[in-house]
Amino acid sequence: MTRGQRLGLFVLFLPTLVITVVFYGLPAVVTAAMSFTDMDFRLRWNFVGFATFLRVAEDFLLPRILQNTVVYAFFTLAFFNVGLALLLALAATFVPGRVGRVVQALWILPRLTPPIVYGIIWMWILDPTRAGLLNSLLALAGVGPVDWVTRHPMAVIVVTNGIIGASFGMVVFSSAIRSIPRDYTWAALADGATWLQQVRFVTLPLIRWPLLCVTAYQTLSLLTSYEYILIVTGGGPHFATTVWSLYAYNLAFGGDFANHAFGYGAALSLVLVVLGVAASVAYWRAFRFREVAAEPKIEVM
Amino acid sequence: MARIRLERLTKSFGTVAAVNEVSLEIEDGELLALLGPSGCGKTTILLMLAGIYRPTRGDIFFDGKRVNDVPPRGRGVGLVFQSYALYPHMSVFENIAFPLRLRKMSRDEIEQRVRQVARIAQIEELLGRKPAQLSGGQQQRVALCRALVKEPELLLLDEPLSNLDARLRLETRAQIKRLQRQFGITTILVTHDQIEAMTMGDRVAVMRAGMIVQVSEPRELYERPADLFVASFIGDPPMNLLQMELRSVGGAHWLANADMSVELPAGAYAAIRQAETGQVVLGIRPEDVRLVPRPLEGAPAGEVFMIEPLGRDTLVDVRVGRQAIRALLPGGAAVSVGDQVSLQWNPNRLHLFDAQTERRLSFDAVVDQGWRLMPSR
Amino acid sequence: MGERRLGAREPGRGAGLEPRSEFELKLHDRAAGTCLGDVERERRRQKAVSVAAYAFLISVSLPLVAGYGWLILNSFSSELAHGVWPSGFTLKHWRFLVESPLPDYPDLWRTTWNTVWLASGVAVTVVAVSIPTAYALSRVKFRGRSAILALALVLNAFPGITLLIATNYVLRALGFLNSIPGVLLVKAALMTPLGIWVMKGFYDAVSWDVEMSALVDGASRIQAWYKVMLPQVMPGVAAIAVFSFIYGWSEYIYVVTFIQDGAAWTLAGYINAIVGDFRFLDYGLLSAAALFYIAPVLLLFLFAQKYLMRVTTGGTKGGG
Repeated sequence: MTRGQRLGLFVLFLPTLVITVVFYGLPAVVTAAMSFTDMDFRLRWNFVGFATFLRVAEDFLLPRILQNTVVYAFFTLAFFNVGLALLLALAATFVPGRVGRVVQALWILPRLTPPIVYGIIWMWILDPTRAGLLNSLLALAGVGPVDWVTRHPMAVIVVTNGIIGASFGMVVFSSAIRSIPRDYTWAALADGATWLQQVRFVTLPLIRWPLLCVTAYQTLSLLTSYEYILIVTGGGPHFATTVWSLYAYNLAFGGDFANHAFGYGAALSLVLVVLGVAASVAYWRAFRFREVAAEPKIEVM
Repeated sequence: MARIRLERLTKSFGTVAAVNEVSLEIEDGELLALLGPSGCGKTTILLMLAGIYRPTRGDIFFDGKRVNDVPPRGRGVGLVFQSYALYPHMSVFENIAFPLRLRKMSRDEIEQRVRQVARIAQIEELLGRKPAQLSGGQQQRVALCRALVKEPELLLLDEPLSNLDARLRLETRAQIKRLQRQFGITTILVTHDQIEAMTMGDRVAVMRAGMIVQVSEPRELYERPADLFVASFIGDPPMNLLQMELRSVGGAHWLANADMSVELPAGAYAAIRQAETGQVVLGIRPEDVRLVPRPLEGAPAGEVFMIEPLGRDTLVDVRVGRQAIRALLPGGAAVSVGDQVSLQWNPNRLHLFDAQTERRLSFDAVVDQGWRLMPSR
Repeated sequence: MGERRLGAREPGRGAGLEPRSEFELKLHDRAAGTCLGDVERERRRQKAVSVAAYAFLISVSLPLVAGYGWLILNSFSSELAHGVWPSGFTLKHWRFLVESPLPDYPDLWRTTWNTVWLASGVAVTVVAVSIPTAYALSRVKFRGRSAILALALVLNAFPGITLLIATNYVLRALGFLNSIPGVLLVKAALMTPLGIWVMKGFYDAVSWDVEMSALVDGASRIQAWYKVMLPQVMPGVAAIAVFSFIYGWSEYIYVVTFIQDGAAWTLAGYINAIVGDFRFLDYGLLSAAALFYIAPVLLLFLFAQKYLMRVTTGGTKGGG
């Protein structure tokens, strides 16, 4: 390759490199650096060593927040992101193709919806007065209105986020199931398998890889994102639905009870950043063997 | 129209040498068939000639000029892929015109040239269609036109007939041969099908595991194969190959194995002596074997155990001891399964190979040395 | 059954009458009465499973239909009985299109324009960076290729939102805070690794023969890319463009956190303010504004549904 060509390639990759440095590398370093300060709205780089981390460790809310995070992530993942998604994808295989496609198109809506609009729909559904959907249905049954967000905050965030997650999972699982060669299904049928056995012994094992993939990615996603929780409960009545990532955000930008505690927020975020890096590298390692990064065949420029 | 020379051409991928010290000369206007089993490196040579692969070692010369460092667009090569590789988003006309558009030819000249070559290939009425709307044979002709329209110095064809059905194959074979003669372009054709190579090539180069084993005219390849590999590769049905050992008693010499013994043609003894071990492989083509329905002195004898009628010929399998020898008889066979027959052949048609080196042992047979061709009935 | 032998073909004998195989015998015995019953039972079982699947899908999807249906219905009704039955068609909730809900709100159309600007900016940037980068990664041999591939994969998996606080600081330092370009750059940066990965997949799918053919026909590498490769990966480009546009259009957290100036808001900020001021008070306004915001996305989706399906299987962000 000539010098000119090498230069051309470098220029080609410049945007990617800039993006990586300015929006990934730099912020990661800044997060780390900030967590060693006690920065607040005054934006002063006042390095205090591990003092901020100690404050975090002694935070009386931390155990509760940790619990929230784990409970939320686990239930959303198990029941919705993976559970419901799988059920939807499987059920779609037992109905005619056309119906399956309509269902899939319907279920992609939550993911496409702007978060605030999704939030508005749920605000209406969960409205504590009789104007809300759930409560007006309850009124039909003669039951009094329930303040859903206050009474069952964790369930609320699990369901609202879960539907978004199921929407993603369903698409992946559907296409994975559809790509299973028909021969396997027919062989199972010829062997006399019932539909349940078919699912258990043919379908599930053959979509093992996408299943694992989705679970891994979704776990990371659930542990680090908080947009929908912020919109629907804002962190729940008195931190009841505040997960780790949301706690950091609210401390930095929440305003009502925090003082733009950037240093503190950064310290909390650092944990998530490290987790994110570790997980991403792990995925890269895992996928390296699958992702056949085949060498290009043309040897001429 | 160019003379092509390959000098000790080598291509390695990692530690594996796909092409190993290949040297070859192709005359101007010649059609050379590169024949060999899958994976023997023939397509790799093609891609090196086109300039897409860089040789690891060795040189390529077009008319005496070294072209190793010349990119594909500077070589004047036309290449027809096995998959045809037509541009799916362009019409047939645009596909063929593509090389000319890249050369910035005028619109009129492009139009004229494309139509001309399309007329010769008889695809003029397809010019407005997209590749997806064409049959395999039509796609191939488009690919051929695209390669020819730029009047290349060298034409490269990668398995041109393998994707076509039997009937189309015959037509296309003739068509390609005709076109090549008409334009007089130096052509290299790569194939794994020995019939294709033998019928189309002015010369055939047989390859195996990255190396050239023999380069000759088709006739020569058939009658004097240089080694066991060529002998078994050329010819359908394949040559009968029998492991034999040289036996000598007094001044008499013959070949024998556990199941039969065969008398040696006169000049053969001297040739066999070159084989160190005295182990020899005897080759005789099925079409050279005759069956005689009664015992003959000195001839191998056996029992017919399979008959396959092929219409014009009949393939008969004879079990001699534990070995099987095939005979290709013209017309319908006069034998039945279970018959005891003797096998005879013209000693001129015998092939002998050194069992260890697998190379041919040359000799000149003398006819009538105790052998007489008896009528089969 | 023990008496019958398994047949075998003997060479030299014609087809004729041969003893039956085990399998054939089994079928024969089965057919004598029991077979039909089995088939009927099986068919009923299939039907039951199918019905159950239908029931499940419908019952689970009903809330979705209800939710989105409400969005449309409520914005045009003066009253929704039991939250589902509309009555009284009205356009009064759509007043916000012409007059601001409250005096301190920015102009709606200005805000909409900002949203378009953000969305298309993200789409254009992601596409512009992904197309050539992915080509080089897919088709060009160069040192460091596997390193950059690994980088793209890692960045793709990494949850960018964890860096929000730091990004806020970085943008502030660069002077990009409180503006659309700032959010645009962040969104584009977060979306580009996915764009590269998806485009690479599309490039990989084009056969090598076609590209080699272009080179032999006389094209340079760049010409081959432009005239032959690019037209064939257009579906990928469309998919990424549409997806990025929707991603930019829908953006909430960065807009709400990084942009305080109302003049630079997108619709997300605008509606966020409406929610803050009119929640529990005016569902009509809420649903109308929400419908206004989501309508372009829905339309885009309907037109580009085919392309979006291809991309979402590669997506890793969000979902939680």
